[in-house]
Amino acid sequence: MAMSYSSMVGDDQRQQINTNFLASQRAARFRPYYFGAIVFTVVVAFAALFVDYMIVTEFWTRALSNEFLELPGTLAGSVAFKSLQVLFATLAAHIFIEHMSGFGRAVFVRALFILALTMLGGVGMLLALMSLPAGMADAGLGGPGASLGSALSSLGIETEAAREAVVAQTSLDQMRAYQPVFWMASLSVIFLVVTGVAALFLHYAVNNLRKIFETRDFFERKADMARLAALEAEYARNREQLIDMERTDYRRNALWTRLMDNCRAYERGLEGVRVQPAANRRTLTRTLALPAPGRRRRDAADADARNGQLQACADSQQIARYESVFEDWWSRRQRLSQNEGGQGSMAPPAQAGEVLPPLDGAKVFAFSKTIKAAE
Amino acid sequence: MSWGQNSHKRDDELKAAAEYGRRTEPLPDIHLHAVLTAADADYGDELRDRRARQEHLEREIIALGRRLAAPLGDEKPKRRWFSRAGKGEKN
Repeated sequence: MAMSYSSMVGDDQRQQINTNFLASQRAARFRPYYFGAIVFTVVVAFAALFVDYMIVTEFWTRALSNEFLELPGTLAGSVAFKSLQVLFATLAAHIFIEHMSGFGRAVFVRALFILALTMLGGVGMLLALMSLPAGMADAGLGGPGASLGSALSSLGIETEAAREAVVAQTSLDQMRAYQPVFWMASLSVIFLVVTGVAALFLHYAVNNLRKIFETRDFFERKADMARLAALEAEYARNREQLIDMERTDYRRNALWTRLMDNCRAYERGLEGVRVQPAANRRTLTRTLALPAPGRRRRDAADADARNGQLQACADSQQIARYESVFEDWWSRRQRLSQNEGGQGSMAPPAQAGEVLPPLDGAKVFAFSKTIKAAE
Repeated sequence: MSWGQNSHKRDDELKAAAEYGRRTEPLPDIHLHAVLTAADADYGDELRDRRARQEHLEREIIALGRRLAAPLGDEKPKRRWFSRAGKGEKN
């Protein structure tokens, strides 16, 4: 394994990660703004829907009513349902906007603005007609001047004002022929403007809702970055450990340490035996009433045998012996590794495990006892 | 060093060594060889596990880095209606 350390994440990539994190954090800070925007746009959209509903209700009321603007009983209930088509008209406009590109949406917004200007112009014209100056009213458009002109013309005296009034009346009659068309066109303009506004605000509401969901990206990104940092730290630690473990002297030291651990365990077991005879003697002194014949000789023989065993154990605990055993085992392992295919000292020691018996305390002990008995 | 510290096998070999001491018998060479062999096998296992973990960490770090470095953008599909093909949406 190549041990030359280079970070898995390059500098450019890390810079991009940090940039993305900051952008995500910035977007997450706008979460309250998105909530407020959703509330505002939804309120405006519903207000526009209500206005649309009232416009269409007026349309259907006028379309279905008699000359006294009264609706027949059977049709009165259906006006509400017919007016609810504004909901679907708004949804259709919303879908239309959602399928638009940026350019198309810009065209839509500008067209809407022109329609709104037309609507405002129409409203302004109506207001102007309803508050005509006094002089124009006297000229014959329904004011006192018109009454005077009509009285004079009935007497056979044709005045200028009367002639103008006749002309104006003719123009009004011609206009009345187009009145339904104008009324319908005006209604359509208003309806389109309000529906377009409702659809646009629905679009903004949906956009803000989507942004609220996107702010969750920050929390996931934060957790991912913490995980990335943890993985990189573990990678660095593991790498350092691998560098050590792949060294032969490190391996030798580790195996030697393990061997010494066993020697210490052996020493502890032996230490327990060294202090045991005195305790046993005290126990025997307390329990036996009279000394058995030849007990002292047997005790002395046992003590000699024990001392001999302890001496043999002490002799076996020479560090030179352990080093010799270790070197013998190590050289055998090296030979096996080289015979296996020249993999060097780092080859897996499976062959050594096959040569030597598996480690099992009880079985090893019984095996050594059997060998001793045979000797 | 962390390898083989808590293994059951290691406890068994320490118990076996202590048992030799309790029976006042010299620690036989075969036990020492078995200990060394087992320790070497544990060491090899640890080394192999660490190498595998290192490779896994490499893959994880690279994948996570790529994901975090992916550009933040509008995930909505681009539309061509009312716009030129291949041109990104500005709104």
